Amino acid sequence: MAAEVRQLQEGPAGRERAAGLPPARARQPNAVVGDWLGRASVPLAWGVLVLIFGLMRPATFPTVGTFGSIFGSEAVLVIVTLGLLIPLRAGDYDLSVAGTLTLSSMIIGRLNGGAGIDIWATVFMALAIGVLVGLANGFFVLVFRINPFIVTLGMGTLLLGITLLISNDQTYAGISIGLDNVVIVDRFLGMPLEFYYAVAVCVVVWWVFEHTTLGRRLLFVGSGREVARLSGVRVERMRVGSLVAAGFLAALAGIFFAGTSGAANPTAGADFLLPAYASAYLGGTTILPGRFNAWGTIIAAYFLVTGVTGLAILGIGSWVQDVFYGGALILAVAFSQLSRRGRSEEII
Amino acid sequence: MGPGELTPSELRSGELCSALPARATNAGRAPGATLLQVEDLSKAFGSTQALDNVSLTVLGGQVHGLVGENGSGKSTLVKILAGYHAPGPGGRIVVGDAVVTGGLAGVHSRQLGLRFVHQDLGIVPELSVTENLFVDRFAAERRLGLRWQREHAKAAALLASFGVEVDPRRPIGSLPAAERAMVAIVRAAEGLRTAPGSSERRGVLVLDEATASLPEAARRRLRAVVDEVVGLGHGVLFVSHFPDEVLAWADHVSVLRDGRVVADRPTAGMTEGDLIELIIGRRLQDRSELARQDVGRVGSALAVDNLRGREVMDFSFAVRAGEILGLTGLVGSGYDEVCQVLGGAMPARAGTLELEGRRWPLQAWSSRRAVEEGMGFVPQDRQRQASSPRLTVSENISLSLLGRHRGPLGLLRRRELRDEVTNLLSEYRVVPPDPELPLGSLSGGNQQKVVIAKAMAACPRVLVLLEPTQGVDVGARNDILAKLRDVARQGTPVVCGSTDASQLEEVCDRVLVLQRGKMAAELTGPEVNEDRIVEETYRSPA
Repeated sequence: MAAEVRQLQEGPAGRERAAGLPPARARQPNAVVGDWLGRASVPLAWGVLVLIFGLMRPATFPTVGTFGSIFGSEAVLVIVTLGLLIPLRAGDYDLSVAGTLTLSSMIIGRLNGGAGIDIWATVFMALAIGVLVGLANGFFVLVFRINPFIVTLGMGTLLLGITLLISNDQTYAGISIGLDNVVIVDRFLGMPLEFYYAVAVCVVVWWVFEHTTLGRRLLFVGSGREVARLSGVRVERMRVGSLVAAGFLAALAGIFFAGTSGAANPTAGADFLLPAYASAYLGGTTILPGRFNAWGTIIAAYFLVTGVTGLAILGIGSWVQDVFYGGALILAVAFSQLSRRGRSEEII
Repeated sequence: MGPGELTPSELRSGELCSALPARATNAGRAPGATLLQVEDLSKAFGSTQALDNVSLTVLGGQVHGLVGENGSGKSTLVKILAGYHAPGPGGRIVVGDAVVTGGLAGVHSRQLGLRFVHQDLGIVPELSVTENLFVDRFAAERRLGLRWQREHAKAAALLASFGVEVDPRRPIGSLPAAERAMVAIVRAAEGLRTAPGSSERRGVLVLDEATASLPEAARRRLRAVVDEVVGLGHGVLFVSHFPDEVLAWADHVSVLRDGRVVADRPTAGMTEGDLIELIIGRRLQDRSELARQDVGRVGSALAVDNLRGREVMDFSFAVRAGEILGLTGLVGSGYDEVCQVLGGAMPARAGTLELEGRRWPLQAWSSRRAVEEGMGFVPQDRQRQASSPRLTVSENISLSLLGRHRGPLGLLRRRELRDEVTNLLSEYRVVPPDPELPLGSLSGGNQQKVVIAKAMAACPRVLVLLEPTQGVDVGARNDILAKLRDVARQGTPVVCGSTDASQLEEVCDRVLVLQRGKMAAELTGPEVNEDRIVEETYRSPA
């Protein structure tokens, strides 16, 4: 009872405290296994998917051709997603990447395929346009203090319209074989060179995120903007820079898109937006769960593409692609919430 | 006269902080029936025993203090009562007539007559005071069309009955911190009063560090609310870091250390020293034993001339190398704005800053410039300005160390950085000393130690801090204050903005008291003591 006065003797815990610091929190074996499972979830699911499709279609699915196609042609998706990852890390959305990608591929198609301008000059122009789009996004976000979600949503649609304008709603073929060669035709160890470009971009993004001071500052801009500002980080410059990087990589993806198909279609690029977000968010649940990370992203992108390719080989109609990507985006976000036990934190 | 100020009759400084007169009134409270009884409660998280056979009893008409260092188990106990954690096996909780052996789900604990005010207050900043105040009722009632005029009037009347004068139409986020807390407390007290069947039943108001971020004046107004709650026969479980406050408010106190109840006694006859000793398990160093350093007149290292901001009007001051200067005042006096401007968190309208012989117009001063010029700043808002709770301890500290561990091409020397962070964690006695844990998983005191370590790690040439020991237990507070003295001893000028007068007395060489944006008093030498600081803070401007 409250009235009675009790004085407990100091127990061993008290002596421990007096002698020094309590031991570091011991991690439970279950937690370690859970941790590991969380990190490896998507790679494991990918393996299971390959196994299932391989068993169901042993003649067509597990072939060099199929995997060459998955790893090669879908490098475009990987690169545009890695570009998207940079503003996501900085806490901003970029919904204009698909528009930038489409415009970039059309610049190649129209100027090289259509007007016959030197392919490398048009590649340079496409990349420059990507940088300009990023700068324009950054300008409206910072000068007018508009949410990048809205600015880039508008920008993406605007760019698709410009693409239609310059292409006159036509597909341009006849892009120089030089670009095709370095993108999809030439192979190394059975894989198109495109695949290695995607891995190289992934290595660079991973390196910047995890091993540079720039990456550390970017992380704080995304997860504690005011903390970053008070610690002397040029927050606005970082945000513009991340949008420019996203524009540049989206333009690069557009160049590979043109090189992969040898032609530029004025609308096909728009289909990359959702798979890119699905890959980024699914990637944020694996390797380094809770953070947008480069390796998780590349694995998630190939996991999703494997699923779509396998389903196509099984003979399911093209509707399945949208269902699969859309479902994966929702499930990825739902799963990441689940692993955090419902705490309403976003991936950073 | 604003809500944060006192009438002249209340201005007898001796009574403002001293626990003695308050305890005299506490002794007069007659204990009522047992309202809340915790019996042999245990709770383990992994291998950590957070609570070990804890028992305590809250009686109606009384304030029951619950104290302990960060990590002692206070928060765990409160979270079990709130239904956030389920208790471990064995033990039980008796609320009124209900005996609970499993968990108390949140709604359940409310129905039984428990109400909580936590440090984060549980308010929605964008919504109006009225909406925040009546959120329970708005959630429960199914009615189309609210008559807002009437609701606002009700809210104003309710707040006024507790002595709180705010415009109920304003978004609560636009109010000063003190007023926000008052609204949250009024809401809980009202919830207790209007709980179903409360005409028969009495409830328990749990104040969970609700006072931690409040200035002195607001705490005293909060106490008026608490006295009213207790007067109605309810019980109050008062969880606090401040020993003096607990002695002043509580009739009875339970002390937790390492998950156990080490004392459960009436506060009558207990001194602050006794209580601190129970909390930390060892004697505190006597204040007179702390060597106050002799600051030579070596010229000012930092001088501010005619600073003008939102609250501050043409304020000038200078700090010498190795001096710890305290800035204090009531809410709205601008003492905190001065620190915010120096750290680059807020813009100034006018003024100049002189730092080691170089002059800067304050309008052109920014956080980036402050960092470049070697100014270390510890902001008040830990969750938003000082740290990112979702990132790891190591990442948080690293933000101020990036320049030092930068290799060619912006490479981050991660191993070096990790070694330095590990050293800092042991130097600042952060528990647990694991650099890879998310910062938010540490207790409040340990988070604050990390924030201080982050600022100090950059080896600042000037250190500016706002409420450096807010929400921190006694042990961590002593560690932090000792660090400030160390830094000053090495010649760094330190500016410390705080409303904690005893902390200012303990650590400052000189204290400037602000009133309405202007300097009201400068206290030096023996004048730097709690009573004088409080007296000057509340003295009516001439």
